Amino acid sequence: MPAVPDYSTAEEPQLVNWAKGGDLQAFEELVSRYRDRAYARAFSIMRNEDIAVDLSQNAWVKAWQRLAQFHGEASFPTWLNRIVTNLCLDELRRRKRARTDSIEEIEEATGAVENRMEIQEVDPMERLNREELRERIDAAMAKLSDNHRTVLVLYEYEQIEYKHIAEKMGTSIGTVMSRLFYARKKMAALLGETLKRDGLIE
Amino acid sequence: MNRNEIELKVQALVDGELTGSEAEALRQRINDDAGLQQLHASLTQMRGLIADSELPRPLPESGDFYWNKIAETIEREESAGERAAPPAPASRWLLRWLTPLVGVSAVVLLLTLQQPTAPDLGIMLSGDHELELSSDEIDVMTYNTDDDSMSIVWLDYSMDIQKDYMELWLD
Repeated sequence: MPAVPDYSTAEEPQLVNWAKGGDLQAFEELVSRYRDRAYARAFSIMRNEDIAVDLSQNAWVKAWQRLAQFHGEASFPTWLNRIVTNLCLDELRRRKRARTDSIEEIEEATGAVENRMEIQEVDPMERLNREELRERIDAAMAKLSDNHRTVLVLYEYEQIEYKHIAEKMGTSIGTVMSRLFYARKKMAALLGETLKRDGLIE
Repeated sequence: MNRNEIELKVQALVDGELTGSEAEALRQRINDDAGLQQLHASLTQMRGLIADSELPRPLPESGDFYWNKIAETIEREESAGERAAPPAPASRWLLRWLTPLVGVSAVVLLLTLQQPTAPDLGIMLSGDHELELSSDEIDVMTYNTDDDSMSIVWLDYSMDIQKDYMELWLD
């Protein structure tokens, strides 16, 4: 009788190979290791717990079905998070189709609001530790529009080039550059506001 | 290039998206423009801040509960996949449309050959000739009547043809 593999101590490539061979327990171990990361990425884009849980679970199902396509060019969690991101983009597109563009969205595309903002010179690193800063950046990200937040996640977290972001978002490189610019400008303004509110800058 | 376009170029420079000569020309321009210098510094700082800022976020539900839904969905979709036919490759897709087309062509050929004025193609058909298809997926029935000089061919085919080949001949 063959020995049962020790999944909990197995290396990631070994688990992936077992899972590719149909071993669902090996796949469960992968889920156990990376479920928080997958959920965190979905939440970063969708900003809703229930939707992030659903989409990250769907991503795991798709990952299982497409394991044969994973050849290890990127790490397994990186590959998985790309599936998560793609599902989030699909969901945002589906929602967008269901509504007409609001005035806010039109202003967002042209930077009508952000153009009126002064360039913020914020140096929060001098006043906050890394964890406090991440909390504040996360809170500021939550206040961005879907398009601005998504382009930041794709560029800053996924490290995808402009042209590939344009393909993923179904738009032009110019629009990606514009959204990224105004998203950063707005982030700087929001961080500046929070530091001012807490008396950390004048 | 208007001011907004230049600002977007500055951002592209910060993001490493500009080519060598283009980047060099823009650097020169930034050196001569205090506003662009400020923008460059601000964008560089903001990029550094956000890049590593994604918060680790634990699942809001238990790991077992989370996994169970994944496992159930995998099982359900695999069961459904086993019941459904496998996706048809291009050759099968072609056969799906080719098969009825060949069948109809055969009927037309038969009817043409049955015409009294049809040219002699050198094919001799007996009065009880039949059309036969070797595909199990296609049922063929023929009805010949010498009195009316007519053959009726009835083809009954499935849309999910699994055969990789089909032979058609006149007997």
